[in-house]
Amino acid sequence: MVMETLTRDVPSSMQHHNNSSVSNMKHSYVQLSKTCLDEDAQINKKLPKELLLRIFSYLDVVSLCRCAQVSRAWNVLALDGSNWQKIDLFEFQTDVEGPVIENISRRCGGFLRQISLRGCQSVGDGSLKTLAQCCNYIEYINLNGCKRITDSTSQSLSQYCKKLLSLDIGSCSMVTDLSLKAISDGCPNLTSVNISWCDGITENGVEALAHGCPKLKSFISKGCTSMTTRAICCLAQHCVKLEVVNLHGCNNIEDEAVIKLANNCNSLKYLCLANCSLLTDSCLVSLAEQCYQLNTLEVAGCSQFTDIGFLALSKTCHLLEKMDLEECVFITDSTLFHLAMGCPRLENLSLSHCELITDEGIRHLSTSTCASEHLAVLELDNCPLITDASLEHLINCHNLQRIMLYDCQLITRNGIKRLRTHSPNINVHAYFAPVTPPPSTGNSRQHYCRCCAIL
Amino acid sequence: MDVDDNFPAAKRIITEIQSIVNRDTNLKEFDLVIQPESQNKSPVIYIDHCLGLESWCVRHVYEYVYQRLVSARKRLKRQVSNETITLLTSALLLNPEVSTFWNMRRELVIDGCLKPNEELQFSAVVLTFKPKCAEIFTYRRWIFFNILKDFSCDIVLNELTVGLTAAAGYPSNYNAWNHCFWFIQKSLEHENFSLISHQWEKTKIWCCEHVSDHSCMQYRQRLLKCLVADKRCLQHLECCTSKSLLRFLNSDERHKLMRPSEDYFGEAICVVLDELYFNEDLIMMYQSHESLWNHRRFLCYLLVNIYKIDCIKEALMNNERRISTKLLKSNELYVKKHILWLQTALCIPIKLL
Repeated sequence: MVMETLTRDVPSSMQHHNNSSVSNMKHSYVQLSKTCLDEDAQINKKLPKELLLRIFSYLDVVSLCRCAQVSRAWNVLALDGSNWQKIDLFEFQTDVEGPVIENISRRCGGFLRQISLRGCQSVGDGSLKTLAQCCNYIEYINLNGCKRITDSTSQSLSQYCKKLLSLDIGSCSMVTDLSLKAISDGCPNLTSVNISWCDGITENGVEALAHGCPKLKSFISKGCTSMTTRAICCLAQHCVKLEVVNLHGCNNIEDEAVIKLANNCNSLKYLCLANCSLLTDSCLVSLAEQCYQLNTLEVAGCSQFTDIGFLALSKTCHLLEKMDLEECVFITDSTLFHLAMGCPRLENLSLSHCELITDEGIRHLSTSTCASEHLAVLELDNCPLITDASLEHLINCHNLQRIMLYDCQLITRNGIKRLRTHSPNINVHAYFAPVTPPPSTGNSRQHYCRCCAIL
Repeated sequence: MDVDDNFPAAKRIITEIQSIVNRDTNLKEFDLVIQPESQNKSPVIYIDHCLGLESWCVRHVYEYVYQRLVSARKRLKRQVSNETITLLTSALLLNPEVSTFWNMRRELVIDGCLKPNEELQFSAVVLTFKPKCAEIFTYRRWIFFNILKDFSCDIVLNELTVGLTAAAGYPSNYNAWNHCFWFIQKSLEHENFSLISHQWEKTKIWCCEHVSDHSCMQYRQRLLKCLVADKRCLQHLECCTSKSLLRFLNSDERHKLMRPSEDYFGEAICVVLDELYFNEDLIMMYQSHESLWNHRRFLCYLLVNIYKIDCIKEALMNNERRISTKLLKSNELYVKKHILWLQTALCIPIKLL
């Protein structure tokens, strides 16, 4: 009975609505479905293709793929190569296979400027060769963690992508010196390279790179234990525009390398020498003499550095913002005194395991201009001489957001509480159990929901 | 992130735990150290291949890892596997009873992010903290059955040692013994008969030290069933003397029973009788332990039901009467129960004097 009324009702109501015969009705139905499709849809009428294309160009991979499923017209527009100038698959999907990369490269063609395949472990040389062949204008390519790629990828990049500016092949363990030779031959404009954790790369590769790519601004080689002083000297000699250098864990580097860097690359802004334990004060002194632009210095684990080096540094490098001095065990309060005087922009200071630091040093720091305006992060964990008095001094640091106090045995719960009452937003890291909130009483539950309260 | 972050030290603590677990392949034990008050020092204690965590931080650390793991699970989003592993390690050390966390580890093993051998080592450490936790045993069996698929003698022997250690950590640890027996069954399937006799000898000593352990007795009962059922299991057994047979049956009965061809038959009954006399010694030594009497019941039942011969029933009746009279004073309740059971269940017309 109900079914009958339904089947009868629908056409009659439509008939009534259209006020016409059955054939007319069919016609209108076709029209209706057509307007739902493609061109005649309201949004496509109002927005010209150019504008839609422009809007699409701001979307990321996921949104573009969704738009491509809306209609035929949108599919064509969304998959237009001009939208695919920047592709980052890391946030989207990393277990892509070769054919996906090949499709992408055919779709993007000459439009592609930036591509990140970070962590796409199953991508191999073959598909990257297709990518290089199809997309000759790539400027930025990130292959960090694509463990299957070999020198052959770098060779195709050097052959087809002459405009390459930035290359990241970190953690690609099968890559060797031949890669860097190829890149240095084919991509003279390269400004940025990351070869972290590539065990196969030695000084020969780096020397070739230094010769071929003089415009290099950023050189990152974390954990390359076979990196030598000679390689860095060569780099310093040819790439004088270097601004970012990261030699984290290159523990064979000696003073000479850093001195050469300091002498030639005066625009150095970021330098990481963490765990290069052979280095001594003389490299800090030469950095102080030449590199006034330095704003980040990470020297964790360089345990031979002393107050003398940091004294020199603080006299000239006034732009320092971030310093990591973890386990520079010889530094004393005098380093803090000089940093407080000389580096007014200091934002981020790590003194973990600097066991000679006392409250006096912290007092100097807290009375300086950097402290009151800029200092945001201070790491003091494992500084056994620090007491609650330090926390009292730090009350002056209005911008302090985070402070690490792990294993400082003289710090008490009350000291932290006092600091918190002065600056409640500060994030104090210590091994104290958090204060548990009192058990909520019965009246914590509201009688009205939010909308009722508004009404 | 919607999870509150009022204990930033938790991250440092779980990272420290993870690095110790990664670094020390000979880690033996994990336990909590009672320390209700926090001082500003790391609550992770690591001495002599043993890992400890001060009790004040347990609640906060567990809250931290639990919230993150559950939200990671609900979001169904790709997570950085290293972070998840660190969270899972602490979560499972503190509370191994959550199957979801073990399942997350299973997924990581399948993806190749965790190595099955290291997982065995880790779960063994967790087992020292909660020796009765069924989820740990299930996880270990899953690794053996689905990943390693290797039931060679050494591996099973090692697993039996782990099971035995867990059994010693908790009284009547049925899960541990069950786990051991699962491996015995597996090794029998792979025609590996030497282990069963090894376990038979080893648990005999163990029983002397744990006379109240029902589960251990039950494990021995299951072993005994296997020994009696299959001739090949017996061949590795060392001391299978006919001494107990001489003690149990007089010469006439012996002649009636024994035919020269049935060597194995004699050997099997010897094992059961050995156990019967061993049980008698224990009952004499340790008074009023229900587990021992239950074990005796099983042995009587086995004797009567496997060798359905009258003379055995008779000999058994004589033997039980001898014991009952001897023990009536000290174990009156158990003796009476035992006699009643013999009468009703085995139809042995035995009467107390």
